[in-house]
Amino acid sequence: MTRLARIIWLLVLSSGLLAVGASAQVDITVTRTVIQRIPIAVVGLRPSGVSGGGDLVAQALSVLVDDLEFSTVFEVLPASFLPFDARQVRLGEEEKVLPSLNHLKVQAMVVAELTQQGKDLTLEGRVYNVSRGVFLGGKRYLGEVTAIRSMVHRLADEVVLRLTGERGVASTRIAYASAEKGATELYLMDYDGHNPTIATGNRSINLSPRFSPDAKLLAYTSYRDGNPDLYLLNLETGRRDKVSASPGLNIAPGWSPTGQWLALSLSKDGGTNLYLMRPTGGALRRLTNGHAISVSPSFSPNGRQIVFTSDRGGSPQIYMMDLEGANLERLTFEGEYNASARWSPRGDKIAFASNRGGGGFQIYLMNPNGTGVQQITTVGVNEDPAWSPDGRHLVFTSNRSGRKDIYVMHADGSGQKRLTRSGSKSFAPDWSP
Amino acid sequence: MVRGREAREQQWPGRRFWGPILIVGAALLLTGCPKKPEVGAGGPGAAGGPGAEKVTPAKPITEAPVEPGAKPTAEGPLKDVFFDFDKAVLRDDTKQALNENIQWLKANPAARTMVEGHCDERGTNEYNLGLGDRRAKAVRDYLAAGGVDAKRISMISYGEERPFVLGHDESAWKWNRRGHFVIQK
Amino acid sequence: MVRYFVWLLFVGTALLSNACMVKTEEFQALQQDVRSLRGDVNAVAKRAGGDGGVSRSTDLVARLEELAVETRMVQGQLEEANYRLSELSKRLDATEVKVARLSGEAGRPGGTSGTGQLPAPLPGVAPQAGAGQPGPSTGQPLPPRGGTSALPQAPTATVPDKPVMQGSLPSPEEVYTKALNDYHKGNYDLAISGFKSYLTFYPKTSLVPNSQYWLGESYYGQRKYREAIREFDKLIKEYPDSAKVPAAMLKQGNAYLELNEKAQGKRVLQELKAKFPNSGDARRAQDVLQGLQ
Repeated sequence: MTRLARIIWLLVLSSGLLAVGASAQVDITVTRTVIQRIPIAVVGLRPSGVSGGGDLVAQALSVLVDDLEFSTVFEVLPASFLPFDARQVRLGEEEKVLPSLNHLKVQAMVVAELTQQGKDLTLEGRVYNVSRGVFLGGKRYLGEVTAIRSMVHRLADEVVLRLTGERGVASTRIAYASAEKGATELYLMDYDGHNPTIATGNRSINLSPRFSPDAKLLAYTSYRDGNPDLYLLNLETGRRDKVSASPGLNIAPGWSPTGQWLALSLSKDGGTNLYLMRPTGGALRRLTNGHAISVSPSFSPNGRQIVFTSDRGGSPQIYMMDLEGANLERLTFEGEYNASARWSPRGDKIAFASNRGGGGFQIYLMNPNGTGVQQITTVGVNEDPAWSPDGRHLVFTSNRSGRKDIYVMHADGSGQKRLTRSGSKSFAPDWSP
Repeated sequence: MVRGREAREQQWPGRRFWGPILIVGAALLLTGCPKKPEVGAGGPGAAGGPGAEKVTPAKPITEAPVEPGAKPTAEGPLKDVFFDFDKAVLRDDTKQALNENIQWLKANPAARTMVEGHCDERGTNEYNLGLGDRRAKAVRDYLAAGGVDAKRISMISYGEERPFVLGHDESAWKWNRRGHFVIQK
Repeated sequence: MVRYFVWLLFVGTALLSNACMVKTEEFQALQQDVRSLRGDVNAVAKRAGGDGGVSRSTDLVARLEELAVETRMVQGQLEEANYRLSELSKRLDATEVKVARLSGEAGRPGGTSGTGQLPAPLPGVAPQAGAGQPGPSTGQPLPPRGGTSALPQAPTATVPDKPVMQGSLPSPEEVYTKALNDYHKGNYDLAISGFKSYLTFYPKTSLVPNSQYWLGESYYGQRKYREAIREFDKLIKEYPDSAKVPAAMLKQGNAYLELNEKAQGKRVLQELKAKFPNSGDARRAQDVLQGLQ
C-alpha cells in the first residue's frame, strides 16, 4: 500500500515537471499560470510530547498543514506516503530521514515538536532544504495553550520565509463588517476565519475598515454620533480618534503605502468627491471636482497613483489619477458597473468587481492600464475584493451560500474557501499587512 | 441589464391602466411594511418591465419588514419619495409628494426635518452612500426651491445600509430607493 | 505599396485623434457651463421661493438633476469614443509593426517604419520567454532569495500570457505595459529604460506621447525634477495635441516649485490655466497657485 502510494506520488511529481517543461516551449494562447508547488514533508509533532493527549498536537498539525497548503508555495506530502512514521521523528534526530525524503524528490522538510507544561506550550520548528541536506533555520515559540493557533501560524510564516525569502500571511488578520439586529459592527478575525472579535460595538453603522500599512491602525466610517464620520482605531491601545467630521459623508478611506496620506470621500461640496488628508486630520487637499460620486480609492505601490470608482461618465466605472488629482484616465469600458478597485501590493494587477457578465458582480483582475482583464469568480455574486499583503490571495464577499459571507481565494481564482459562518450578513473585508 | 429594464419602466405606456391594480397589489405586498399603500399610488417604480408582473399577489412574499434603526413614525406627516435605479432624478410622483410636503412644511413653520437618502442593495456599499447623498440633496434642493427655508432641512445618507424591505428583487428594491423624512423635535 | 499602406494608417490615426481632442475641450467648456448654470438656477430658485414662482423654480431645480445625468452620459460617451480610438490606434500600431517586418524594413530603429528587430536585447524588456513577461504573477511562489532559501531550482514556472517568438521584439503594447508596471511598482530605473526603449524603437506609434509623459513621471518619482521638466517639455512641444499635455504642464510646474524656482513654476501653471481653462488639471493648478500665496 505505502509502496504503491509512493509510486503514485513520484508519478504525480514527475508528470507535473514534464507539464511545466513542455509548456514553456509550446505556444499557449490561453492565459494560464502553471504553479509548481514545493513538495514539503511535515514530520515530528509527536503526540507524546503533550500531557493532555494528542488533541493539541493534532490541532497544531492540521493548522500547520493548512497554512502551508494555503500559502500556494507548498504541496504537503501526506504522511502515509513516507517510508517511516512521520509522527515519531524526534527533534534532533530529523536529519536521519533526509536521505529517504530526497529519494522521494521531496524538496523541503519542516520538523516540529510541541511540549506542554501546565498551561504553557512550547513549539519548536526547524526547516530543511532536503535535496542539499541543509538546515535553513529554526524558531522556538512559547505561549499559553489558548494561543496554539497563532503559535503555529508564526511557525508556518517562518517556513515560508526560510524557503521563499518572503514572509507568509498566516499571522495576518482580516477586518470586515457584519450586519445584525439593526446594527452593523466591524470585526477582526484570523486570516483563516478563526477567533472573530468585535472591533466597534457601538450599535450603529460601521463600514469600510482599512488597515494602515503598519497594521496598527484601522480607519473606518461610523454613524455612532449620527453623521457618517471617519475614525481611526488604534489596534494596540484601543484608542479611537475621530479624524474627519465634515458635514455629510466622510467615507471609504484608502491608505497610501507609507501611511502618510489617507484618501477619502467627502460630500460637503456638491458631489461626493475625493480628498487627501493626513491621518492625524490635517492638510485636507481636494482631488476631484463636480457633482459626480467618486469613492473607494486604492493607492499604487509607489504611492503616486490612485484608482477609484466614479460615475462622472454616467455609470460607475474605474478611473486612475495621480496624487495631485491630475492625469485622470478611465480604465474600464465594458459593463454598466465597475467598482471596488484594489491595487495589488505587487503592483502588476488591479482587482475589481464588475457586472459585465450580467447577473450581478464578479471579481476580475486587470493590468494597471486597463488591459488583460481576467474573470476569477463565477459562483454566486462576488464583490469587495481585497489583497493579502503578499499579493498571492484575495479576500472577498460572496452570496453563494444564500447570504453574504467572507471568502478567500488564491489570486488566480483557485482554492475558494468560506471564512465567516456567524449567520449574519458579512461584507467589506480588508486584509491586514 | 438592470439599467435597460429601468429605462423601459419609465416609458411604460400602460402605467395609468395598471395604476389601480398596482395599488391593490402594493397594498397586499406592503401589509406590515412601514409605509402604507398610498406610496405605491402612481409609483412608476412598480410598473412595467419584465419584473412588473411580480407585483401581483401571486408570488408569496416571505420577506419580513426590517426594523430601521431609527424607527420612523410610520404615519409621519411628510411623504416618502422614491427613485429609479442609480438615479436621483425626481419622478413625477416624487415631485407630487414633495409638493404636498412643501405645503405641510409651510403650514408648520416650526417643524424641522431630516431627509434620509437610501438605496437598494445593488451596487457597492461605498458608491451607494454617495448615491443616497445625491438623493437627499435633490430632495433638499427641491424643498428649498419650493420656499422651505433650507436651514429647516438637514440631510443624511444611509446608502444601502438601512433597507425598509428585505428581499433581493425589484419588489423590495423599489421601496428601498427612497428619500425618507424624519420630523425633528 | 506597403509603405503607402502604412502611411495611410498614420494619416488616419492622426486625423482621428485630432478630432477627438477638440471634442474633449469643447465638452469641458460645456461642463463648465452646466456647473455655472447650476449655481444660477439655485440662486434664482432661492429668490423666487416666495409664492408666485414656486412651481417654476422647483421644476427648474428638478431639471438640474436631469441635466446633470445627461451631462454625465455625454461625458461617458466621449470617454468611450476616445477609448475606441485609442484601441483602434493600438491595433493600427500592431498592424504597422507586422507590415514593416514583412516588408523587410527591419533593423532600422527610428527609420521610416520605426519598427523592426533589435540589434541587442532591450534592457528590462528582453524577450525571454517567461522572464520578461508581465504575466499573472499571482499565486506563484517567489524564487528563493539570497542565501536564506537556496532550493536547487526556482520553485515556479510561469507560462507567458502570449508566446514570444525567439529573437523578435515584444509588441509595442507589451513594452509599454511592462514599463508602466515597473513605474507603478516604483522601479523607476527599469521604467525609465523601458519607456526610453519604447521611444527609440516605436517612435511613430500611438503610445509615444504617453510614454513620453510616463518617462517624465518616472523621473518625477525619483525626485529628479530637472530631468522630469526636460521630458515633460518634449511632450508639450512635440505632441501639443496629446491628452496628456495639461497633466504634463501641471507636473512641470510642480517640478519647478520643488526646485524652488517659483517664477518658472508659476509661469507654467498660469499657462496651463490659460491654455486649458476647463480641464481638471487647470483646477489643480489653481489650487497650487492659491497655496503659494
